[in-house]
Amino acid sequence: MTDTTATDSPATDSTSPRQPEPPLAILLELTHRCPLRCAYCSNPLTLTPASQELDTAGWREVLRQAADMGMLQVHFSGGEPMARSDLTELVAYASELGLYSNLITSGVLLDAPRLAALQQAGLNHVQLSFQGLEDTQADRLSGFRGGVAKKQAALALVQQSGLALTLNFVITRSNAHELDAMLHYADQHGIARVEVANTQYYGWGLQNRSALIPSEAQLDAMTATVTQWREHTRGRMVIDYVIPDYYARRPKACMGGWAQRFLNVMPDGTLLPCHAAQTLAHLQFPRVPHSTLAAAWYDSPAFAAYRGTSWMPEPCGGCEHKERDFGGCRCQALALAGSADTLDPVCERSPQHEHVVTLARREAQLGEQPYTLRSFSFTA
Amino acid sequence: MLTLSHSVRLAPGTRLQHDKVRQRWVLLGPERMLIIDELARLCLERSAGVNIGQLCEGLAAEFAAPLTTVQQDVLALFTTMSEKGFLRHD
Repeated sequence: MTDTTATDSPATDSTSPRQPEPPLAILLELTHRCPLRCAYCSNPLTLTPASQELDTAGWREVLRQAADMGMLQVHFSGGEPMARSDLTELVAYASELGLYSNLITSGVLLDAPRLAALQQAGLNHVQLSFQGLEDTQADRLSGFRGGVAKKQAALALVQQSGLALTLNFVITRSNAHELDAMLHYADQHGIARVEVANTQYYGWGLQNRSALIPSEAQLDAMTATVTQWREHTRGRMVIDYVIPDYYARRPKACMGGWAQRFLNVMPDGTLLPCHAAQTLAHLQFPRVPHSTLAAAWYDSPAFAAYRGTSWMPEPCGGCEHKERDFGGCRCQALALAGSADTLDPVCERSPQHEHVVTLARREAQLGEQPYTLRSFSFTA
Repeated sequence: MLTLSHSVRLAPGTRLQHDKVRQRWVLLGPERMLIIDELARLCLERSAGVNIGQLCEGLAAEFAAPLTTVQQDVLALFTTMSEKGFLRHD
């Protein structure tokens, strides 16, 4: 089954350009509209207005092309994807195409009839986010009053339906102390999969970083808590743990490598290798219907720009980790080091690394800070 | 810990699917995917209605393989899949 005898296949030469494999998954930002106004939102500061969203036929065509290319999973995201009245139709079409469908939702618009319709349409999985379990901090972080109770009601509905469910706990400096209670809550409710997701610093999250970033002491405590709960719930609850990478020594393998596995579609049909990539203003990203998904993936200069290892500066090009972390995150390199073509400063080999760690440490000591909540009328 | 007397089934939200474009079988789950080989697929497909011990006896007979080796391999495979959240057991 595994033939390793090929000798001169281009696949063995990592420096030469090669036909990339098709992506495995697609994330559809169906809309940027959302009842919540989370301070950590990864949507861009300039949100796409409803009038510019793809229509139902446009999204159906995106799904058809995705399945045709060989993608296997579709994530319906946003904004709040349930703000789209055609969500059920799109889920049904994804099922018809054989795509595994995941709904990424805040849960606040979920009710029994809509959930039943989605289940009937063939939805495979629901990811429900919590900004904490204490009202004060959760309301403050999401700019939405009474969200916790609504999410708990949504959780009960999904559990009654029997649909597979992941709870996503969003972690910041202001709710990190709740982590043990969050995991206890999840285990008590028989949840099979939990994401402990420290906010990442893109979009609104970058804007609010000084109010969001936890301290190293908080991070150590989180790691210990996750380790304990993993041990305690082995075999019944899987915990995925995402840390704020500013304190790491090596950068994350962002998106599994630029344009290697994922394709992201913005509400207006702009095609990106990740949800933050439109910050790279020097690249021209293709858009449907002017481009097909396949043309964007295989032929566009923007998708090719940081794919693989040949674009890498030194010391990345000679680094033994280059096939593992793919040079980290280009958006972070731009945001923190001023250039998308240089090292992700999270890497300890970056000349900017110490600066970034110092920045994180300093901001983490600021105590409770006001958030700039997400809005459609942001001006920098 | 998973033993020969357990029986396994796919976890909710998990499915076995043929990836037509890449010509391989995969287990699809929430934000995760596991590429599986022919033997793993065979184990999953035949695990319905039997416990792991019975599954192993069948495989050992069919492939004329030592039963203890088959048992070790299948338990290791199913344990990994369980810990990644793809399987449940009774």
